[in-house]
Amino acid sequence: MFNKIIKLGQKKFNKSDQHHQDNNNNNNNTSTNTVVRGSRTTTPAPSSVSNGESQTTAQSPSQTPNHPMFTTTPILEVLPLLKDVSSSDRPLLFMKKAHMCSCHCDFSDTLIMPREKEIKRQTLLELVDFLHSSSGKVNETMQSELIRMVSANIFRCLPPAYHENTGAPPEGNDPEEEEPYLEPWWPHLQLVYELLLRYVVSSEIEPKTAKKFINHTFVSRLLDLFDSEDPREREYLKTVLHRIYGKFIFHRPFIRCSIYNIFYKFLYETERCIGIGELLEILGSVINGFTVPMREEHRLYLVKAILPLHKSKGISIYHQQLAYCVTQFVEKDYKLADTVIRGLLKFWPLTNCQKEVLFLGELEEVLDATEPSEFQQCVVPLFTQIGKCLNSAHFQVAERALFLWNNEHIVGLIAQNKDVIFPIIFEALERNMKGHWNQAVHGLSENVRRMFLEMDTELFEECEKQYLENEAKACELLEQRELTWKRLEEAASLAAN
Amino acid sequence: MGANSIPTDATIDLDEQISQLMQCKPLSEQQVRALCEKAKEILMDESNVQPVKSPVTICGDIHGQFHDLAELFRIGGMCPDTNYLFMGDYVDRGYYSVETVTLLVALKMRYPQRITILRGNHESRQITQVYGFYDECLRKYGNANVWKIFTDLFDYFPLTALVESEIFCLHGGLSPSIETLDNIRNFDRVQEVPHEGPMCDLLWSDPDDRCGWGISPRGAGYTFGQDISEQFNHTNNLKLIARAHQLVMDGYNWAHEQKVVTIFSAPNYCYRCGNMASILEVDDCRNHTFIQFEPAPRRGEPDVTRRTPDYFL
Repeated sequence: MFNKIIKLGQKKFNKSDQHHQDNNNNNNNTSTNTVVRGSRTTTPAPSSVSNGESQTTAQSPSQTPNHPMFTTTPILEVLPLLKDVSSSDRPLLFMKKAHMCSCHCDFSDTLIMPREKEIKRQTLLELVDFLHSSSGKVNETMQSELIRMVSANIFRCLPPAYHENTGAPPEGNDPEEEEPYLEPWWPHLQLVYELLLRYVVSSEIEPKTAKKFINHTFVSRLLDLFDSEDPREREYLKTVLHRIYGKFIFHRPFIRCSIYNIFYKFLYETERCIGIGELLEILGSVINGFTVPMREEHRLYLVKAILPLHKSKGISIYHQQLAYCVTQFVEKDYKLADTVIRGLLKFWPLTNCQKEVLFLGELEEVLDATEPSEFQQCVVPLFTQIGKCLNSAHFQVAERALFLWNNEHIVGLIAQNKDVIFPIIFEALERNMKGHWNQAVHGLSENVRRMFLEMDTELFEECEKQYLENEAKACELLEQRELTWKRLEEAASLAAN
Repeated sequence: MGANSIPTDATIDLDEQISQLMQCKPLSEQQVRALCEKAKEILMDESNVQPVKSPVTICGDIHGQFHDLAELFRIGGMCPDTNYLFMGDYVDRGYYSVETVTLLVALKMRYPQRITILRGNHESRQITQVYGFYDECLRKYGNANVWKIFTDLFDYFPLTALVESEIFCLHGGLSPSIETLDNIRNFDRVQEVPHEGPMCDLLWSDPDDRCGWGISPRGAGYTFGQDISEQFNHTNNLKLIARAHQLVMDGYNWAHEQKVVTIFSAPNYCYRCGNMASILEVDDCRNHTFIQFEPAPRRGEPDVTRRTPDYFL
């Protein structure tokens, strides 16, 4: 390993030597990365960096050993504007500026280095503008330095999740109610993300060249940052990753796979779910672009990585995005409806009513996109569950289930399968009318019951007859049991005497 | 029947249950069912304006903060050594609504003359399904039976109490449809808390700095001004209205020139508000003493006061 680093370092050494001419060495980027990693573990952080995040961002001199301007820790100083120098001097100045911006400012105290902070902010702004303007040609070496600076800024250890700090049980904290941790140095961080975004979307930047810097390692580390508590950062990450997915076609399978891996890790290891919503949002648009018929790979991920997201306690944070993804699958390929509905039934919550209401909402969206043939396949287990929901003592669950009958498409599906559905649902409705504590549930149950009656009077009466028979039987059974106990008691008291 | 009557099988059972509950261990569904069935008989006989004698300690919202209720008993004295009057809101929000309300009902069963438990706006089916008690029952018992047993019992809780004919105690506040205590005595309280009307107002209203009746931001009940309180106290020969229902940072808060007092007995409400709790002791000479207390040290409940760990500064 040590040899490898030295060897790569030499390669790098050679490269920097001629860095204005030689842009064709494809190994450059990978070697840079290896060296950065190696040096990070061996070189202590520069002393000027007092921030706790410094450990991942140490810009060691060994990375850029040759050029005098890169040999020391960058110092934030006023440099001439890019537009004020000749076009031949611009690349060097650009790199100098980028290198300078890889230095961290301490934001724990506004009084520390206010001038340096302002210089960095202004420089970042200038770089953003430079990328934006078409005048700014960015050659490969400049890109390399730019991405190195971006990496030095954004890749860092994130503070632990709240419950990891205090030892409080994670389920005790409703993450929606928690105030998120906001990055104090967002004024800089935002500009760095803006720069990265401009870089990724710029039509001047060829994916072929850029993939040396926006490589798998970079994408993986970007994905790790979705754990950030700062919603502003996750919003940028979402946009950037989405654009990377769009631009770098050869990265697509890798990105999908990495996102699914994050889901696995969340489901089976950490239960930390801060960025799941944003990742699902990206995925929603990715699924939207799938071609039909859908590849087996996508179906497998639906079953193995996406549907199981329903089982998490923290689902409320990302449920909207999850429901969108799931519905996208069904809308793309109607044959998946059965898979999705059975998935929902499999993960149906038993003791969490807020979650149950979410499930019912999602179920309505899915059913809205379901064709009769698929509906028929799962109608029995589906309506057994819906029947339970109708009878829920929780008024919001019962109400939400009854609202399904407000959906025309669903009522149509029910009408086509009334022979199966009526007998399952009838008892639930009768029970609600008899004994549900909530008045709204009463009224809605009555409406649905009337709808059945109007749909098919004969069938309705048959169900009613069956229901009354069952009731009578149950009553009889109860009486008999009581009688048996009575006899037993009598026998026991006789024996005791 | 005195508090220290000769123990019977039933009271021995109850004493065991109470000591189990004091360790924050819930009873079984069957035990809860039996307990509530008997409690119903006792509560049924109580008045809508239940008379209470001094000395008595008056307490406000508990909201499932079991360990703070235990602290309250440590500070105020255990029942039956101290007489208690609780003004509702035993369930929802906190983690231990089941244990809290079961303990209070068990104490009521064991010492019916020593403890009075009024109904709060959270002792209702609809509210408990939104604010946590329903889910807690589902979590702890696997079904909604215990929730049903308790919410059926809540219908029997008295709405108000009258200490020595001079302190009127209730959860929320006054109602424009109620002028005299007899008005309250006359209606049928055994029902789910309605969305409007006198019974709803008693459990939902708040005192306000503005005069007269106002629309409550809560969407139920009213706000009432000092003129209303003075008129009500005058008509009914009262010295004071003691109520709960609102978070107050010191645990108690005077309003309407000491005609109304708010008492809140859930310290660091929702494990995050940072408030003190208090109880009001009324001694046999009818003197008033407020006792404030802080959250009990506990394990297993979060302390949600947020801070950045030192090593990130």
